Amino acid sequence: MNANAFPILLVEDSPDDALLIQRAFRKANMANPVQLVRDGEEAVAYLSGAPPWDDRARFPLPVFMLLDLKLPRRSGLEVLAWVRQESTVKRLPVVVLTSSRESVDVNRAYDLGVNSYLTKPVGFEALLEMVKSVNLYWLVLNEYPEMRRG
Amino acid sequence: MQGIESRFWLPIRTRVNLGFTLAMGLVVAVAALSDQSVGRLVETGERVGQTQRALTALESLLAGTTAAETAVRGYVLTGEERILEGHEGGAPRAQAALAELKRLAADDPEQQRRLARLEGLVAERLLSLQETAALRREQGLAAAAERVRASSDSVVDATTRALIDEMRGVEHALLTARSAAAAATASRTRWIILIGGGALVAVALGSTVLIRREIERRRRADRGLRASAARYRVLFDRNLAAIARSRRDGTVLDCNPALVRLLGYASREEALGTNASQFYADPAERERLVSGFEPGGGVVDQEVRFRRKDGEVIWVSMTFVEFEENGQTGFEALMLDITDRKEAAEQIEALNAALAGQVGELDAANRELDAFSYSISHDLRAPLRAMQGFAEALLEDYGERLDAAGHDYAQRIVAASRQMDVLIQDLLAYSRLGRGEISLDPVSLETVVDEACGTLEMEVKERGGEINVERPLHRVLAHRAVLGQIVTNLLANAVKFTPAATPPRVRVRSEAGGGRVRLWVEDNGIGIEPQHRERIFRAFERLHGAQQYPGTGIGLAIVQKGTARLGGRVGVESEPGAGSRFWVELREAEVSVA
Repeated sequence: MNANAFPILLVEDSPDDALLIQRAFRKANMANPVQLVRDGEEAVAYLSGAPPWDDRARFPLPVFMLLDLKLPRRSGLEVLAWVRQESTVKRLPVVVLTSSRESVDVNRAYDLGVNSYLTKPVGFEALLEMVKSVNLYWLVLNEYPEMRRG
Repeated sequence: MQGIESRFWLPIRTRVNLGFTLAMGLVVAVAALSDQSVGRLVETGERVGQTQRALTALESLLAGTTAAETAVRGYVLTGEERILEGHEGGAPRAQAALAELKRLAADDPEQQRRLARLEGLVAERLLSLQETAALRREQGLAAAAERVRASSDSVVDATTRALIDEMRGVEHALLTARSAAAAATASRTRWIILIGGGALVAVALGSTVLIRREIERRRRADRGLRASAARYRVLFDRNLAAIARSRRDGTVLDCNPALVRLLGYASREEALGTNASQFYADPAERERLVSGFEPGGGVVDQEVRFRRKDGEVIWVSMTFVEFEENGQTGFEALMLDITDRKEAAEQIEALNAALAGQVGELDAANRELDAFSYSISHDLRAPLRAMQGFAEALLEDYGERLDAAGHDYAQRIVAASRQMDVLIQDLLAYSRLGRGEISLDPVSLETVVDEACGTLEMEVKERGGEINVERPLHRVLAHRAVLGQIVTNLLANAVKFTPAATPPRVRVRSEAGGGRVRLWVEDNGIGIEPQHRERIFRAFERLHGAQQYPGTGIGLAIVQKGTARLGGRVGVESEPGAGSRFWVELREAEVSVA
């Protein structure tokens, strides 16, 4: 499978953070497109192929998901729980990218089956380093499980 | 007493009854046997007497006949009538003896037969003697002498003698047998009386022993009972607990001085004259209490309210037992004044409620603090990231369009937001130390120190300094992450506070004693004035301007608070200009714990 063809799903409600992360992806020369959704419900809608994302040719299932925890309407942890019990996407690699370092959040996320937990750094250089590492790990090194993409 | 009871398995009353019956039986038996024996003895004695009388009669018969014969012969010889008269009595004597013999032998047919023959012979003989006497008188001596000669060897005479001898022999044999029987009966009677008497004495002795023992036992029991009653009385009268005995209807039968005191009565008599239900704050309470249990049962430590004579309501703990005496149901009650305890308990309850409220408030405050920390960590840092991120993006993407002042301003935005981020991180670390549960486990100081050194490696190298760890370090009881924060902040503090030109030299060592381990971190830094040694461990306390030694002022506060949470102590020895020696003291991990 050609991992470059599939997008990275970024779930981020803060326009500032979204802009900075997208810029970092650009700076890291990423081939994969970044698909941005603004809250938990949109993330669930995208993953389940609900309108306006019902065209899987234009909006394919992502290669992995970057998930903020503090989201309006449906929290990141709720999205994570939903993903893990939804048969089509339960194997989707989920990386939490949030500003909370509270151990309650970290432990809960791992309990729900998160694949990685990262905290947003202050400073663009640090963010760029992190995005590069994430890309290297999740797009180049990591072996993917099979997912029903249809 | 138990021993005696078990040795004789029958109750004392039965034993006494049995003994009496036995004794009576013995007396009756001995009397009956004795009576029978004596009767037989008397009878045998009579027989012996009869035999003896028969023998005497035989002798008398023989003597009578002989006397008659002698008189006749004398008359024949002399012819004197006087001699014949003198001995004339012989014949009636013999007749009388014969009559006696007949009477005595009435029950013996054998003897009667012999007697009949003897009677004939004796009559014949006497007749012959009369004829001889008549012959002498009428025909003279010669004819009479002839007749005497003829009769002296007559058959009649010999037969008479033989018959008498035979009868005598029979009577003698009878006498011997009857005497022996009499002796045997007498002997048997003696034995019966002897054995019966002996048995009676034995039964009487046995009964006496038993009865004496029983009396002794009863006396002992009685003495024990009296002692027990006396002890009960003492317990009753001197008891600190109030005790009362009452009837079912509430009549107070007895009470002790403690009850009189408890209820504030003037005297025992006054208490006795009051119905027990009046002791209760609610008089109906007594009825509820006494009808609430099974017959023979009671209540234990029931808490009820009493009313003193002066109206004051008190709490008592009451123990109630039902008893039966002379067919009447009564109650024995034991009461303790627990008013103080009850009031204290109420106070404690009130305090507890207040405390629970405060704990609730504290919990709420803590939750608020948590939410605040979360909010700081998440919400406050978001705009910070934007400030810094976009300032950097501005410098990178539009740097060539900015002049030197524009660059400087953008740089200042970046620096300020970075500084604020560090501040927030430290604050979060500090507040996190105060919350949550931490467990103490054996931790290797060496591992923790090495990790902290790794974090500081860059900075130390940049300044040409070194951190010298004197191995081995001890093992301590600590929470790994908290200890890491403590050591990192101590080392960072040691490295930071050296004059700019001086390469920092830090020495780390540990010493153990009395179950405690002291970790020393010694530097060649600027030192601390004695008056500041307390202040440096407080949060946000800074001794130097940010220009000279940048920092948030939280590092040592984290050391202090973290050590306190691990149950340890922290301190510093310092000479201004000659470096500081910080120490942290923690509990030593058991050596056996690997």
